[in-house]
Amino acid sequence: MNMQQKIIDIMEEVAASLGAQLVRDLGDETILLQSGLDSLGFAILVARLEEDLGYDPFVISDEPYYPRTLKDFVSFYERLRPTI
Amino acid sequence: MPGELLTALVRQRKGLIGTDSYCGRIPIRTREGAEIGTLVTVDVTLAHDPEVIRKLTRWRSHYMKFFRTQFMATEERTSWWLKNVVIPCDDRILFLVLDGTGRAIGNVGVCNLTEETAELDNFIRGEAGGHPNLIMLAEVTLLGWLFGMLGLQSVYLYVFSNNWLPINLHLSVGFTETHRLRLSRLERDGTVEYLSDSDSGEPVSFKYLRMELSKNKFDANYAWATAACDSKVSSLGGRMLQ
Repeated sequence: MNMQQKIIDIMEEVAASLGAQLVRDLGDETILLQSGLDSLGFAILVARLEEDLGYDPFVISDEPYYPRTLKDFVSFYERLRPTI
Repeated sequence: MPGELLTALVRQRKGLIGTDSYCGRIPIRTREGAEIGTLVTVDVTLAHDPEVIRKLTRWRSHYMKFFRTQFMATEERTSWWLKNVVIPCDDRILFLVLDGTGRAIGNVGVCNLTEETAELDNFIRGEAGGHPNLIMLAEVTLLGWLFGMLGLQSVYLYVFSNNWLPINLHLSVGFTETHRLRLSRLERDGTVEYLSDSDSGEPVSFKYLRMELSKNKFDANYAWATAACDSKVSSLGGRMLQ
């Protein structure tokens, strides 16, 4: 499963657990703050992704990065994926 | 706002003087004026409320990794902090964020409050629900109150650079990064502390950002929020001085 699909799947699970509704046309250009997940939802999402992937790119990155869109978010996870 | 009046207003909001509970509540509104929630000052009554203490403890525990000082949050510790720090300190106010039904879903704090400036801290969404933009509009409402009601000229905050979502929120409200400090991690007696620009501790990759927002810049985008508080200054000031 590619990174984007994995992230969207977990976003949907988190939204369902919080009783939230993701926007219907979730895609590359979706603004994260308007995706339907609130700040609590994103905190849970990042924790879930860390459990699943074994890393949190926001912690291991040397440079601060603030993803604005879903594409930014996915790319950051792909770019900071630890090499084995 | 003169220093004595500012101190009196803070004490009044906390229920330390006067009895006007209206002053402890600030409606959270959309740009169109729809009321979607409320900021409620944690006063002496709420500081002793077991449910408030329970929620604050749970929320702090949930977001502990984004705080500079990290420890095992307990209700006893929260209660002590409320009664010995939040309530008695005249330069500090803690607000609960209520949704449209009156349910507490988060908290936001102000500290280092002076006649000119203040620091935002403790901005947490602890529960889901409410208006989708509730937290963003809670920040806008609080800033409108600080600039419009208290007459501050600037507001600043510190945030870990890996705490990207609040940073996005602060950027969208108009804050800009002004300083980037290196951090090191020090653990002792079960407490983790992140030190800024210190030679002690173990260096970490993320940074400590200082962000600032001036009244002029805020007014350029959110004049409606400042104006909403301006309109209450004369009546609240008058009642407070009675």
